[in-house]
Amino acid sequence: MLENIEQIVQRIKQETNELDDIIYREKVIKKKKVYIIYNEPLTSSDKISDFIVRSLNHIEQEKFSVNTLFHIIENDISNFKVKKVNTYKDICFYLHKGFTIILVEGCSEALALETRANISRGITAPDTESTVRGAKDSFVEDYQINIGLIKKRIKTNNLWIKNLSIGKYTATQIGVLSIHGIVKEELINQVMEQLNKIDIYGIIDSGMIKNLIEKETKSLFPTVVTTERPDVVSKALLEGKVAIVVDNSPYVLIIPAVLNDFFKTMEDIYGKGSNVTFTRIVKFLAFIIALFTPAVYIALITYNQEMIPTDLLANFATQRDGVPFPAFFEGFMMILSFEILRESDLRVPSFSGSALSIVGALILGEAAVNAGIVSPIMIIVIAITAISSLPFTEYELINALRWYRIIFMLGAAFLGIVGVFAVTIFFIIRMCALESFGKPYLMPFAPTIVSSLKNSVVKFPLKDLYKRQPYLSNNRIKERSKQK
Amino acid sequence: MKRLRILIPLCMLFLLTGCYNYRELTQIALTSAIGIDKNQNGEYVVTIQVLNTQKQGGDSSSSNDVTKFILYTSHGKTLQEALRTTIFNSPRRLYLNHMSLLLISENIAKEGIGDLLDFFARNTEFRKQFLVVVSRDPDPSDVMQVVTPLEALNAQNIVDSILSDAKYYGMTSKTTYEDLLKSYINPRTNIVLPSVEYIGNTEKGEGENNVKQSKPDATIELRPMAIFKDDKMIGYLTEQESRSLNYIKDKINNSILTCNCNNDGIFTAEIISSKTKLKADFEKKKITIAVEAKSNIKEINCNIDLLNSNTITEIEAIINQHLEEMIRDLIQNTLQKYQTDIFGFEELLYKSKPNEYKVLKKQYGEELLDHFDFEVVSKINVQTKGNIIKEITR
Repeated sequence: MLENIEQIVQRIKQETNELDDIIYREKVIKKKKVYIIYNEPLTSSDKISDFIVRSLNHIEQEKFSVNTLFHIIENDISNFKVKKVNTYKDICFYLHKGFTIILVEGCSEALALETRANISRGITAPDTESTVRGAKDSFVEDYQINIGLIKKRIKTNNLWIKNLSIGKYTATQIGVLSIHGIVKEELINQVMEQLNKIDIYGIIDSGMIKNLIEKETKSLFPTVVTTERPDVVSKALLEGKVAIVVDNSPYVLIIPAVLNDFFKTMEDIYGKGSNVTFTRIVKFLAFIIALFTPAVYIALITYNQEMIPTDLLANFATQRDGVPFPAFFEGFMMILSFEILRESDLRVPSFSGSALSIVGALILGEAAVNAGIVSPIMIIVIAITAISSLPFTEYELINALRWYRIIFMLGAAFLGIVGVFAVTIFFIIRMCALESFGKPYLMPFAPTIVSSLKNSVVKFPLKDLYKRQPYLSNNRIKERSKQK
Repeated sequence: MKRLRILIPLCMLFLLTGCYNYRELTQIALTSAIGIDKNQNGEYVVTIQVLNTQKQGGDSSSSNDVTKFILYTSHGKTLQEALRTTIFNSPRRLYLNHMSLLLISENIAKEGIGDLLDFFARNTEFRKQFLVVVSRDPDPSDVMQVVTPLEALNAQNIVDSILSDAKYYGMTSKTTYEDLLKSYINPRTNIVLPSVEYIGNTEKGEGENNVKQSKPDATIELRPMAIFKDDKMIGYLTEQESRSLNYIKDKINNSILTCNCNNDGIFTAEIISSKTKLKADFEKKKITIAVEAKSNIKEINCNIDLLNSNTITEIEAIINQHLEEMIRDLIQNTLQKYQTDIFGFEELLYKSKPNEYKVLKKQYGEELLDHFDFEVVSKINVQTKGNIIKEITR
């Protein structure tokens, strides 16, 4: 099938519309035509000239029968990663992956030699999940480097990787990592099933995979953790979770993810239990504040004034005096302007960042109060809400909180405290109904798993956390190397 | 379509409520106190103290320019009528949930407060925790218009001074509307209310100038309790009687007693952790009032030797005797003078032996307590003598 190498070269030229980037080098060894084909932007020309061309020149001078040329090349080429390909489709696949293809006249197979150029940035410190203590490396856009960063941490034969490529045009390489013996087989099967179902033109980032495999598409809360820290991934794998590494994406997906996972950071493992517990409590409080504060404030000052101490109410009333808008509208306006500010801050180049903060702080805060458009207390309420939604690293979670905050505010605006409670009931029902790959979202609180509560809001000393969570692993006891 | 069928009623649930009970802070007048009096036509004259929540111009530190509260006066045949018609004066609707004080004028108290009670109990907007106080001045609005120093809101001023008096001296006791109602409904108890009086210059006390000088022209003074028979006020106790009453009712937290020494001179002791137990004995027709407390010597102006342990015993005896006398005097005076049981003795008798009480009540009627003896036993221990032992002399 591949015997007629001229025909193959012609076909490639034709299909790529005579693309200049693909280099065809013709060589004749023992009167046999050999083609060296490679994709210039993806390959390192040093590697090609050093290893392939030089090897071929060397082979040329040796004595052997012409018929065995293919095998001689295969054996003698001084390139480590050699793949035999025997279909036209594979030739193109490897060509676009940065391999160099050697076609030998009259042979039914071709050789693909790894000559990829290093077109990736170096490993840097994580941008979105900074920790005070802990590893400072983060994933990059290169699949091999990302896998390497994880394997560097987990040195066992049991780290199994299932590869597949998704996307008609991108053929993106995807690796599903898990530790054999810890992970539950049905979880792997579930993830593979979801991945195999994906039929798409292309995958640009792991975020797309996340959207495609998440079952709870209508839920606002994330059911997959995305992280750029290899240590977080390694920790998750050791607990029995599954990680999905996607080529060209510095974010790795961890499955499954329950709500409690978003309150944990890598530092929690390193810190003392008692100190970590404090941080966790602060985070849970922040979660509640971020959800409820504006709603409760609106409910109290527009419906349930009897619940505020007299002095405070008098204070509120004085501050609200002269503000022409209803409290809900006032709050909504401030939330909207904060969200605009936050979105602009994310997108704006860093050199105009200071202008933005001046406008934000002075005009939206000070001047709006002086102009009598908003009351100072509303600024405080929105500010405490805003900072309370920031201690979470997962961006999706912050966005989910934002939606629910507005729903809570609507409840408060129409029915007061009763409305806030009505929405709370709806919220709790919704959260209880959520699942992440078959795992209840409020684990380990509802359903309650006593052993897992040791590492939830409170964190017990590391010594006491010797059991894996039952919903993640059948292999409950964390084995130690000195056992037996 | 199916989803729409659920979604529309869900939206209606919120949107069609019409925001029942919705009121912005800028639409309501926070009422802090209500004063009630009657005019010649027999109509209620209601004085309403409303917090002034208007924002001050300029920066907030110069907030002394505007008054802290506003008084509205209106009248009507019923309290509700009078309160509603404040709308004629005030741009905002009254918000009564935060009311902390009800001032009843002496006149109304003497005529009977039974008619007032229904309105406050029936109205859902009232908290039943506001304090009720009798105003000794004929017009309660006189008291309510005083601008008081330290606590700008004078209703809060009165409430706070009653609370701290109840805590550190014991002349008055904290009587909420709920307490009042309870003792009114119960036929075996009688109402006792603290009273206040306007001290100083009526004309000058109203303005903000009152607080701009170190010695205010007018203040509101806490006065001893007013006692009632049924719903009518029949008189005031003296300061000492007021305190004795609180000893009997076990409402003393911390108080002081000034007694004469055996030789000439006086000393003052602080009474702490006082506890009173009442016991009824039907056979001997005797009610025992046992006061147990600790005390600290706070001031001595007579020549006694505290190093001697006998002296301490002597002092204790003096204190006990003094207190016993105080209490005994009060019981005798009130029973003779007013024929009212403000102590709750009948309630005590009823609670200890209901059947026998009923028999006795039938037999003696109003004069039931006259047939009882009262024994007062005071047991006060002196704990500390203070930093110095002897009287300071040259």
